[in-house]
Amino acid sequence: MIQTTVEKFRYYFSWQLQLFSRNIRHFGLPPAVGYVLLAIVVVVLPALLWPEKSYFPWLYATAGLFVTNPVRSDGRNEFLKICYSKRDFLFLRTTENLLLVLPFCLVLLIHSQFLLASGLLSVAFLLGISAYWNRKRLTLPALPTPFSKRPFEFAIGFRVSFPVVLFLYYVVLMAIIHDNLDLGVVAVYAIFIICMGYYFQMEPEYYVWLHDATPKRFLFQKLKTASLYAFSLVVVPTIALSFFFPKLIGFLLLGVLVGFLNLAITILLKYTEFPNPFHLGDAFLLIACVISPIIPVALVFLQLPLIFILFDKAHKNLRNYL
Amino acid sequence: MIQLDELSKSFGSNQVLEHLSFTFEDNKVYGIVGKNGSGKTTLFRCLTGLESYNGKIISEHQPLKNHIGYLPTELFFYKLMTGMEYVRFVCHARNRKIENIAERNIFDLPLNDYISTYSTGMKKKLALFAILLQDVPYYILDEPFNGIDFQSSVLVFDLINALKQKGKTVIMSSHIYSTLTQTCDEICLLKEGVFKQQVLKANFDTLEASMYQEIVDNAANLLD
Repeated sequence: MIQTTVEKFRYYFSWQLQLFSRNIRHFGLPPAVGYVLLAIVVVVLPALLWPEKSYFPWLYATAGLFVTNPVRSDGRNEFLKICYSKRDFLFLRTTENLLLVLPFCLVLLIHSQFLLASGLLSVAFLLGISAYWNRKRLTLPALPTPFSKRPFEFAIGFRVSFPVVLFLYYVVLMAIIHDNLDLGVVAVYAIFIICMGYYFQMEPEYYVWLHDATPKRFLFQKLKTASLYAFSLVVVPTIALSFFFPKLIGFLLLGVLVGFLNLAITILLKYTEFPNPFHLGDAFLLIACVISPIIPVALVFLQLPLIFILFDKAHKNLRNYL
Repeated sequence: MIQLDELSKSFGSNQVLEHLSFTFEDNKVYGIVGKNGSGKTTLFRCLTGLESYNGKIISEHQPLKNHIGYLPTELFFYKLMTGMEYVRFVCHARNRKIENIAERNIFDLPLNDYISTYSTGMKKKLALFAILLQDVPYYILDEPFNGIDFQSSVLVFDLINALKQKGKTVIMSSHIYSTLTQTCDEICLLKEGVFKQQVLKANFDTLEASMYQEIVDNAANLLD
């Protein structure tokens, strides 16, 4: 019996829904409760408690893009390319990207952020399209990066994200020209979010086992490398912004500090879960960390305690491998 | 020397290794043979500490995992990682400072290219190259000849012999019996969780004949 196109797509999306519900169950919640919570965190709360900060819409839109990350993995794309025709693949990948950012777009529209909403939709659509052509890029010579000395997360991640990083440098330049520090801080903060993304993919246990190090030393080494490399990416825009906005340097440095803490939390969370991939609860936690700057005291109540808790958990978990 | 003392491992009700005792001596090359699912990879994973187990694995080198160069049967490489970055990563992980990696490129690999452009055999050679640079006393090679071309097989034979000359212990598995007979000092047949037979060079043919006979008998039983 030949499956019709509609049946095929219906099967695909109900399958994805099943997988997502399984993730919620893995997190320890009944799927229905998970969906309600998700709607509250992603839509209801931001729609009702929209802070009147010029950077917040950008932050919220970035978080929306962040949500498409789990469906953008290369392995997943490869698998779908094998299963579906090019036309079907493009339809499925663009549709699921659009569905994922749709709640964010709705909230942005409620708050009259038409440009950002359409921008978010467009980027999500383009990311879905570009997923098909990943292989072509690989025939190009390897892109040299400043991060090859200490592989592998930054070297690999930078190769994927360097156009976005360059764009964010441009945003910082625009922020300076238009005298808008908020925008500049968001751009620097977004660089940190990109760096967090470098640690989303779980490495195989062999890559951890290889290390001749205690769990503590392994974690410190990972945190040190990430901090140094993230610093090298944000140092120029941060100095430029602090030069042009010397009175607001405290605000800028606070953003940078939260960025470093969020990066550390991502790494520690990864090795807390290792070798299992991030689950829904981790995604919630990371989103909460990313949007935490809207509540300045969150730094004390969220990030700082988390660092200690996660370090301890990751340390215990890694004892099985190191 | 690595001594296995009553090594046992089970997955649920499936007992893979059962009170296995054996000593891998220094300066020798060991081949492990057995059917698919007989526990070769599980044994290697226990030796490397990647798998928990009952019993004891004794060695003068502690922690043993840091003194083993392990070539797993299933290799994983990131798409946008270059060969050079992989080798650097492995060397950093093992705290080895190797300055002239490119000059030591015995397999003539395109180290500055993405690993995703490598063939299966090239990936195997890259992983092998990276573990050889670690200069450890023990090498565990799970199917080192899988996917590599004839020329590279010859090179791997030479490398294994060179490791032996340097006093290293090599423990390897292979589905191609002849690759073991050419390199090993001793071959162990892993069956039902233990080494059913352990033979030295003089008796390699006898072991091969007995394994062959068993396969023929089983096939005959199935056909009946």
